[in-house]
Amino acid sequence: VTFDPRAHLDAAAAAVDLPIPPEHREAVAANLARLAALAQELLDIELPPDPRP
Amino acid sequence: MNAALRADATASTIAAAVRDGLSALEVIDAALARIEERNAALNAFTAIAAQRARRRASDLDGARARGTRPGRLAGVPFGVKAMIDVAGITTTGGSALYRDAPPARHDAAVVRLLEAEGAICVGALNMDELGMGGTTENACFGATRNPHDARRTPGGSSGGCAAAVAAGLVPIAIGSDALGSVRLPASLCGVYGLRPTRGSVDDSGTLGRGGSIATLGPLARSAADVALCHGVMTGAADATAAQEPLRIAAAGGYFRERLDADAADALARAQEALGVTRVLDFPEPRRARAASTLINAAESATDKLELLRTRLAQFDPSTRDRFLAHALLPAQWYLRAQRFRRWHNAEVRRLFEQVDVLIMPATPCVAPAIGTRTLRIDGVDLPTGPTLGWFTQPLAGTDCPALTVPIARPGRLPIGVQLFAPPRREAWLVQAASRLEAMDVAAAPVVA
Repeated sequence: VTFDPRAHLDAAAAAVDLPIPPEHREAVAANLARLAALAQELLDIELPPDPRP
Repeated sequence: MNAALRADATASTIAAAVRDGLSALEVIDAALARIEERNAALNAFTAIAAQRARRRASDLDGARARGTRPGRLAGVPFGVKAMIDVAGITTTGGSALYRDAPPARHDAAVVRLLEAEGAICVGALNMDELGMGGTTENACFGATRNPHDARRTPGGSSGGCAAAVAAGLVPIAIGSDALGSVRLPASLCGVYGLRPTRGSVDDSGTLGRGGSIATLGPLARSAADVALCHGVMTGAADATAAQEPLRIAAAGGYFRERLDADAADALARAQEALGVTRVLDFPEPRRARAASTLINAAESATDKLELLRTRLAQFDPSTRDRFLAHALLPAQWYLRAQRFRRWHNAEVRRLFEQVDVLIMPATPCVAPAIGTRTLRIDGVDLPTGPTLGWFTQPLAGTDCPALTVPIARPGRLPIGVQLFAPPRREAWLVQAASRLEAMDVAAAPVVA
């Protein structure tokens, strides 16, 4: 899965109407990239059917 | 001087002395004098409720004179993390966003429970802004100092709680633990810190409540005080019965990596004292850490959208970018993390069919200097914040209680080990900790 943190930032910020000031953009994107790596670890594991979906 | 008036008096000692006739007002005056003397250097308390505390102490003394039996925590001074409501003082959450808010009108449920048993709140304690951090370096309220070495961090986010207890300003403090915010500072300050069973403590009246990870928990200087305070916080008349024999195993794999010589030595001493020879693997620790971090990140953005839109500049520079990112997380990441968590909790329950208590490191190292950006562990440079929580975070999504136990290290910086038990089995944690305490392997001496 390819995650582009800057593209996501732009789309998600528009979706929730949260302007990201330019001086915060790179740091916010870096945080998103870090969290995306954690999410990927969870998407990579096959889990049995959820007993409580 | 009555031993219960000294800085090293435990809550149990104070409550017994007050029940035997010592004036609660005298106890509170002694605590307020210690805070007055030492807080400027430590910056543990951000608000001191002196008048309120003296009034409650006088009321307690008066009630006892009229024949009312004082409670289990009679006259015991305590502090609370600055996100917990105390009527009459502003609940700041360690944030400029709330610094000028009106004072709380009511006490949080946990304050009511403790004070109903005679404990007396003396003030609010510093924290990382809104619980987002692990070093209590706060731009609005200043950094809290580790009483063992003022150049070092006490850890966080309940850093003010750990520093106040370690310095003997109060015998107990109430913090909150999401990814390790009680257990981590307890390790770095050399005190006990309990993350209770998820959902067992009423968090009504706390700023930012409602997340599925965080729970309120006590910090103290003895295993008995942990049990006493936890019993009162959960409304339990007594702790769960002890388990004999108590089956204890060490957590392997992940929990044997990323720890320096101090952490390894503390763990080895505790394991040897407890006769631990068995090693078991905690299920999927890396993914458990990932899941709890993601869930906590997403939930930390609850109710923040309007504040981020309109008052961004008032957020702490250390949290601003993180809260912005957390407000933009895809829902599917959060849902996947919660699904993993349900599976993981079932795996942890299976693990506890083989063992009663797991022992593991609490932090990878002793307290770093304030301002440290990276930690060198095993020859590798790692970012300070996530690394300090390396061993507390994998447990955060479980329903289970965990206790940091301070290992006795006279003349050296403190560090703790972490004990982990099935839900509602806090008594087993206290049982193992008491055993270490009785052998002088665990100790939380007050730092002068």
